[in-house]
Amino acid sequence: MMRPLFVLPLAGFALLLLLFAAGLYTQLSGSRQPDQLPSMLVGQLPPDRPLPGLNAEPPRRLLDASRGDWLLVNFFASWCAPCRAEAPALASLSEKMTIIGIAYKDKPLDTQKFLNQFGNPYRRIGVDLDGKAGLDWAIYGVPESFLLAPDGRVVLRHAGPVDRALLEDIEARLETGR
Amino acid sequence: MKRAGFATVTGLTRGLAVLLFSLMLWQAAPLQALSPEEILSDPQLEERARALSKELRCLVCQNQSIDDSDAPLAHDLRLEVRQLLGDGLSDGEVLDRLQQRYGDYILLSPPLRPATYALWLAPLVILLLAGLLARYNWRPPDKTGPNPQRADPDAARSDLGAQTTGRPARFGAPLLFSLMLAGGLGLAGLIYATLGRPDLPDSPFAARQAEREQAAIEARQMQANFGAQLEQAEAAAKANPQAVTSWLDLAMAAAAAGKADIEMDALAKALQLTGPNAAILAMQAEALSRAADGQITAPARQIIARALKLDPDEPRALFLTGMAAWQDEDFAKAAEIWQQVLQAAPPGAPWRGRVRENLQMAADRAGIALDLPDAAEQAEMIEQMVAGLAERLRDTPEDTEGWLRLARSLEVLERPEQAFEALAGAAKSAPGETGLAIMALEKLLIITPDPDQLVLAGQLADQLLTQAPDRLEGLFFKGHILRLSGETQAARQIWQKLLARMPADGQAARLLQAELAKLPE
Repeated sequence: MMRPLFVLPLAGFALLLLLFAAGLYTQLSGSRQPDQLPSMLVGQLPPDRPLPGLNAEPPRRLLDASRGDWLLVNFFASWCAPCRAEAPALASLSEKMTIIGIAYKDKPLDTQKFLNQFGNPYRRIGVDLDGKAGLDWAIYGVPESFLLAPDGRVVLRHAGPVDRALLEDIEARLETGR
Repeated sequence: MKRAGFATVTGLTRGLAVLLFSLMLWQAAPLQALSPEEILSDPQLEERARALSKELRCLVCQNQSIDDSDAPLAHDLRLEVRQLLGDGLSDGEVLDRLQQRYGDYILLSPPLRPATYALWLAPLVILLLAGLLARYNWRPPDKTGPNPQRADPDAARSDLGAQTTGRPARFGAPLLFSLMLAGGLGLAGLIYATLGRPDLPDSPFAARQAEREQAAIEARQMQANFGAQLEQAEAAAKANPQAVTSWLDLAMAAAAAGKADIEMDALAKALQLTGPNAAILAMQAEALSRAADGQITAPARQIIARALKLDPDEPRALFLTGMAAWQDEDFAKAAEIWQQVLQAAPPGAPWRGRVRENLQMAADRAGIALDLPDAAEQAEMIEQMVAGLAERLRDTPEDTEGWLRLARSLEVLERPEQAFEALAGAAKSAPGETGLAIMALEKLLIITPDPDQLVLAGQLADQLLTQAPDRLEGLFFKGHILRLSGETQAARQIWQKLLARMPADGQAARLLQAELAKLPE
C-alpha cells in the first residue's frame, strides 16, 4: 500500500529526465529549432505594403509584378552583420530565382554602400525605414527570408542568414515545382 | 613687462584647462534626450496600451513582455499597439490582430485550444491524482482497526497499546512524505511570493521612463547651463573685444555648448589679437577635429603643423599629432609622440592621466613595452620638483607662472595649505590680477589656516579690496578671515556691509545670513 507512494515520485522524476533528454536531443540534432518561431504567414498571401525605392522612388508594391514565379523576399540591413554573411548565398541564388530585398530600418545611402560592397542580388528593393513592413511580415530580426510559391503564397519563413540547408531546400523546390 | 609675461601665463594655464576639458568632451557620448513620444496623450488609452503591452511577448527577448523590453522590436510593437488603439480597436481586437500576425507565441499567456490542453489541464490532472492518492492512502485509524500485518499477540491486551504501537509504523512514511511535499510547496510558494509574483514591482520600460525623463531633464539643464555660460561669455567678449582672454573664454564656453562655429570665430578673433600663436592655433585645430567627430582632418593637420613650427613643444598640438598618427593606424608613432607629450607635461597637469591612457593603448596596439615611471617614482619626482621650485621661487618671487606651477603640483600632492601659500605668492607677484587673489582666498574655505597664513590671507583680502573695491569676494573673505581670527564683531560689520550690497532674495544672501546667524554674540 505504501509502495506507489515511494515509486511514484521516482517514476515522475525519471519521466521528467526523459522529457528533458528528448528535448535536448531534438534540439541538438537540429530537428527542432527553438529560434525559428512558426510564421503565421505560411500558406497565406503576404502583405504587400507599397514601399519607396532606394533612390526615393515613390512607393510601389514589390510582389505584384512577379506573381507566377518563385520569389524570395529577403529582409536585410547594412547594419546587420549576418546579412553580410548571407550575401554569397543570395548571390548564387539570384541566378536561379527572383529575390526581392526589403531594406529594414536602414538609411538608403547606407544600403547603397552595403550593396556596392557586397553585391546586389535583388531584382527590386523596397525601403522600410520605419519598420512597418517588418511588422506586417512579423519579422523579429534581420536577416529574415520568405519563400513565395508561384501562386503568391508563403511556403516557408527562415529567420537568420540563408544557409546551405535552406539553399538546398529551395533548389529542390524549384526543381520539383512545389 | 610683468603684465605681458603674465598674459602668456594665463594663456598657458587657460590653454591647459581647455585641453583637459576638451579631452573630456572627446570621450563624452552625445547627450541622449529620450523623447516620450511613445506615450499617448489620452491617459485612458495610454493605460490600456500599458496593460496590453504587459500581455504581449517581445519576440526578440522572448521571456519579457514588450512593456519590459528595450529591444527595438518591442518599441515598434508598443507603437503599433498604441496606433491600433488610436484607430479605435478594442483591447481584444488589438490582441487578435497581433496574434493573427505573429501567432500564439506573442501572447504571454497561451490561449486554451487543443494544442494547449495539456498545458492548461495538467495542473488540474495532477491535483486530481494527488487527491485520489491521498484518499486511497489516508484512512482514519478508528475505522480500519489494528493492522493485521503489524498485529502481534500483545496487541489484544489493550486498545491503547494497539493504537500507540500501530500508528507510527502505519502513518510514518506517508506523513513524512506529505510533510516533505508541504515543505517543498511552501518553499516554492515563498520563492514565488518574493521573486516571481506578477504584481511585484518590476522595472518595465515605462516605469524607467521617469528615470529617463529625469536624465533628459538634467541633460537639458546642463545644456541650458552651457547656453547661459555661453551668453555670458559672449557678452563679456563684446564688452571687452581687445582682451585675448575674453575670446578664449568664449571659445571654451562655445566648445562646452557644442557650438563649433562660435568657437572657431572666437579663436580667430583671439588669433587676430595675438598674431601667430601656437597655443591658439592648436585650439583651432582641435575645434576643427571635434566638429569632425574627432577626426583629425587635413585642414586640422595643416594648422597643427603651423602651430608646431611656432612652438615644437606645444602640448595640445603634439597631442593632436599623436591622435592623427593613431587615426592613420601608425600606433608606434602615436605612442612616441604621446610619450613626448607626457614627458614635457608638468607633473601636476590634470590631463596627464588621459595622455598616459592613450599612450598605453597606442603602445599596446604597436606592441611596444612601455617604460613609464611607476606611481612611487612619479611621486618622488614631483616631490623633488616641488622642493626645487619652492627653493627657486624664494629668489624670484615675481615669477607668477612658477608660483602657479608650484600650486598645481602641491594640489596634486594634496597639500592644500601649501597650495594656498603658493597661490598667495602668485597673487602677490601679479597684484593686478584679482582672479589670482580670489583663487588663493578660495583655498581658505578648505584649509585650517595657521596664524601666519591668516595674516597672509588678510593681506590678500586687503589687496583685493583696494584693487577691485566693487568685487564682493573681497568683503566676503575679509569677513571670513576676521571670523577665523576671532574678531567676531568686525566680521559681522563687514558681512553686514556685504549683505547690503547683495540682491536681497538671492541664494547667496540667504547663505550669508545663515553664516551671520552662526556668529557668536
